[in-house]
Amino acid sequence: MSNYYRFDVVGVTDTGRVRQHNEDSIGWATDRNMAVLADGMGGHSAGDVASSLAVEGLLREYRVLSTNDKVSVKASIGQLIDRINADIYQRAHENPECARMGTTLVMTCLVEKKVIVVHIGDSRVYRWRSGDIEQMTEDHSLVNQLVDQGALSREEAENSHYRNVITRALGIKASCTADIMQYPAMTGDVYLLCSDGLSNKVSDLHIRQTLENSGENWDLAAQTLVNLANQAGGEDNVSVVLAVVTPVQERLDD
Amino acid sequence: MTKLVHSQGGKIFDEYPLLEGVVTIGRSSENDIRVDDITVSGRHAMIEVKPSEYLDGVNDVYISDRQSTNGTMINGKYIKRKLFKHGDIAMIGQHEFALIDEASLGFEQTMVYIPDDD
Repeated sequence: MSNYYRFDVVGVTDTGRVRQHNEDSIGWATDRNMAVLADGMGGHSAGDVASSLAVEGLLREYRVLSTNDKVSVKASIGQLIDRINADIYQRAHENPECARMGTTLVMTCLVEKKVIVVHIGDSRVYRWRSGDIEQMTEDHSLVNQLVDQGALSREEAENSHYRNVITRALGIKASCTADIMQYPAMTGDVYLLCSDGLSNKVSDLHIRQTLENSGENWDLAAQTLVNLANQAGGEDNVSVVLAVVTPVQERLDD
Repeated sequence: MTKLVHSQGGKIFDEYPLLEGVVTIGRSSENDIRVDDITVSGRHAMIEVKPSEYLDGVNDVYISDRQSTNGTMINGKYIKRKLFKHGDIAMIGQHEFALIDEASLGFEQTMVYIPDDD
């Protein structure tokens, strides 16, 4: 017999202090141990449409996976993301007011004893484990690409007019490639999903300290992080979702 | 519109629109922008304006020092060749050249650039 896990999830999304609209979307399904966050972009607040399509689509279509499935977990998730991408892409082409809309995506789900982390764009997933914080995703950003190519130093790139350019998103092309990674689940792990409205304004250190000082009051931690981003200027929408790995009782075989 | 604003001691002398290509700055007459000042070398600095390969309607601007006597500074630091961005101020001798790139005001929003080879 083996122990499985579930996610306890809390989340906050906020327009911030400057923007008129919130184009971030968040959602989760604790019955299926998954959580999603998306940061939309596009003129006339079409970003809101794109990020909602992503989150609502995943909430509607995601079903619990198993390593006994014929198709691998990674392939199943890849196919699901492809369908969501196609949906947003089609909608962007059908509606003039949604032209060029797109969205980032981060998702985390529990499959047996593994945590799956999916990402496309510059929204992030961090993991807080034993008091340490680790960024689990590498932004699909032009800054990273230029620095990797040696075209610009990190400092130059992060201050250039390329600082907010991403190189992958949902809805922008007919097909897309999301990164799909898996990690062993451990009780107490906190997977923090966030839009760049958080990571651009709050340092990793302050994120870690906020989680440390929360006394496992995760609602409070999520709201505190949003407040920190707003206090630092709040120029962008800011969203945080915390998915906490929690053990369930031993299962008997069905 | 990308432009260079030339000033000294807070007084604006001139504004130069920057189009694609190279602009030289120095004391001698061969330069595109002549600055008649002893603190400025004959051939002092060079500005390159290239259309961005990533974003439409956007220029990447670089400034280089041409081995001038007094050097070229960007925001107080000596440079050899550096990306020159909106709001940066180049110090050439006693003269200030600020880069104004009106398009960069739109860069707070997230944008997507996807290489065609994807």
